[in-house]
Amino acid sequence: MFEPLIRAISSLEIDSATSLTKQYLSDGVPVVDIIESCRIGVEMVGKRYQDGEYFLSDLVMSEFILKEITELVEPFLPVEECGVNSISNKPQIVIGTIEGDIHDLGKNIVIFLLRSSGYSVIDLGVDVSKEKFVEAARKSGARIIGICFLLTNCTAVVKELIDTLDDEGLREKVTVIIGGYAADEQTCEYVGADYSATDTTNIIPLFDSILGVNRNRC
Amino acid sequence: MNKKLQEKRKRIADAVALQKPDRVPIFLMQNYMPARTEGLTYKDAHYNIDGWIEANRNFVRRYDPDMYFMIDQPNQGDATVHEILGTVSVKWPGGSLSDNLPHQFVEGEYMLQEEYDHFLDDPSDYLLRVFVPRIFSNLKGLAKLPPLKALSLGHLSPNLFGMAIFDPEVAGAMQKLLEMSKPAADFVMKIGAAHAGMLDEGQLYAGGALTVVPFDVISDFLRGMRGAMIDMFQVPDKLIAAMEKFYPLLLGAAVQGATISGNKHVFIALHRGSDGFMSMKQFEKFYWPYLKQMICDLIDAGLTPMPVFEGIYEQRLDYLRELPAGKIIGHFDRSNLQMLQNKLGDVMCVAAGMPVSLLQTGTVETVRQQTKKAIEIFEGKGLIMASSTVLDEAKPELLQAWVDATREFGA
Repeated sequence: MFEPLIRAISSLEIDSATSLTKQYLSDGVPVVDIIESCRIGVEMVGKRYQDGEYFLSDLVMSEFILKEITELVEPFLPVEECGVNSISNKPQIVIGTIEGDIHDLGKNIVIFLLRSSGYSVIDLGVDVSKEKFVEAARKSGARIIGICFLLTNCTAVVKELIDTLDDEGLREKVTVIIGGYAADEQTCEYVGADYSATDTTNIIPLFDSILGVNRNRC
Repeated sequence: MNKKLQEKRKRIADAVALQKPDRVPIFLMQNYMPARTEGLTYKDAHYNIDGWIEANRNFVRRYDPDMYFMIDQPNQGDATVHEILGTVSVKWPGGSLSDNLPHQFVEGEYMLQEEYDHFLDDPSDYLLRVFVPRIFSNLKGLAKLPPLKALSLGHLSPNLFGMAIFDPEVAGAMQKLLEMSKPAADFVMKIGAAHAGMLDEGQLYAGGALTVVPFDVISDFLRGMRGAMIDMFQVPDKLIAAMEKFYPLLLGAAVQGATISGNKHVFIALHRGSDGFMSMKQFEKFYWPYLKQMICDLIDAGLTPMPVFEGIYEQRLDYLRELPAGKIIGHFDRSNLQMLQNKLGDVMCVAAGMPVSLLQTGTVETVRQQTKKAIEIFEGKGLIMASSTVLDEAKPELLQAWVDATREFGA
């Protein structure tokens, strides 16, 4: 791995990170090592975020740096190889913003954190119907369903979705996490979810504990 | 002045001055809730303004709050205006959203990072010829106008602008502006008359004057959250220069709004400065100086700022202690009530206390308990009972229980 690149990413130094990447590519180093360095760097950002040392703005910046580096390395790899190493090839998580709600900032941050930590995520997008959630849960065999909603108006439809998962015999097979502005503990209990998160700070430890992932965090 | 109104104003003023009022005031941000209590849809808030005003009038008569906030702002109001303009930066019920969903902003990077120089060189030119055509699809033609600086040619400029306006796309955009002017003006006048009528009945409106802080203008409207955050790292000087350009406009809008409406409360919705969004250093550089200045300037203008601290602000409370005491209503969303009382009890009146989720999913008993707890924390002083956010889907019976409990425990 490339310590300078890891350091540049984790310190959010975009100019240094991109010039190092260009240098490595021109030196002909294995691209997979660059990608793995990126993964470690972004994981360090996630850890610092979790520890309260970094903030949402830092996460956004690290995502931007990663995007810039991805554009540099893409020509050297098939597109599908440009992600981070997965914990498993099977999608572990299905996530989407519930029907009626078109907000995606929080959802996208969560997906970025999860993917950066090695999780395989199916992103259903925004304004996702109950049927689409259920179908995705059934087809993917995911162990976690993440339901995002900012609007308090969507509480009823989130409850309907969780009831539907129950009716379809899927509720016992999945852990349901609600997330977003409206997803407080009171609402969590009302809709019958397992966990709630109104911010993204502790997302990775939560998913790790549900899925039994132990990681030696940097 | 109406006796009821006088009592409410005194109650609010005492709370703002951190003195004990005759009872704890209650502030209802009804937003879309009257749609359900009065048999309308959310769509009616945007398409049936007469019915919507009537529903809100009935709502405030029924619950009789000390202060209310309804959804009537021109940017969210009459949908006809947005249909004419082809607005892309907001969606509304009855438009591309179903009839009982609230309006939602479509945040985007409507201004690109490389466009700061154009904006800074001539903000009006940038906004008219670049930004506006992006957020109003039927005003795309305005992009073909000559730079506004060409007007400096005086009597030599008409041919230049005339030729541009002769272009069917530009002329079409001008036509749309004319077309929307009547519904827009009708809406504003109806709303103004409605609030004046409600005031005569003793109902105090909280939203006569509105403003935001410069970072939120850039983040909410121009660059999007992602763009504005990246700008803090990549082009901090340009970001600050743009914020400096906006500040006088935002302050002026608040003062003008207060003058026109006769309402001294200035609603300041705060979005991206809360805990977690940006680091303390970034807050100190990009957010707090402008927020503090805005609040102090509004106080100097004889107004009562009502900053709405969305999200959690617990790490920022020491900054808020720098503000003048007894002049502000700080509306808090999720911050810990006890912490707010401890830190700000001698600085500002806190509007808070009731999570909306409890009004949606709780019971009469849990609502009463929460009300009692909030009032006890503040010992009835420097508190306005308010919900964490808008009431939209609150249950009417729980809202009534909350209003009753506030009057009972807050007396």
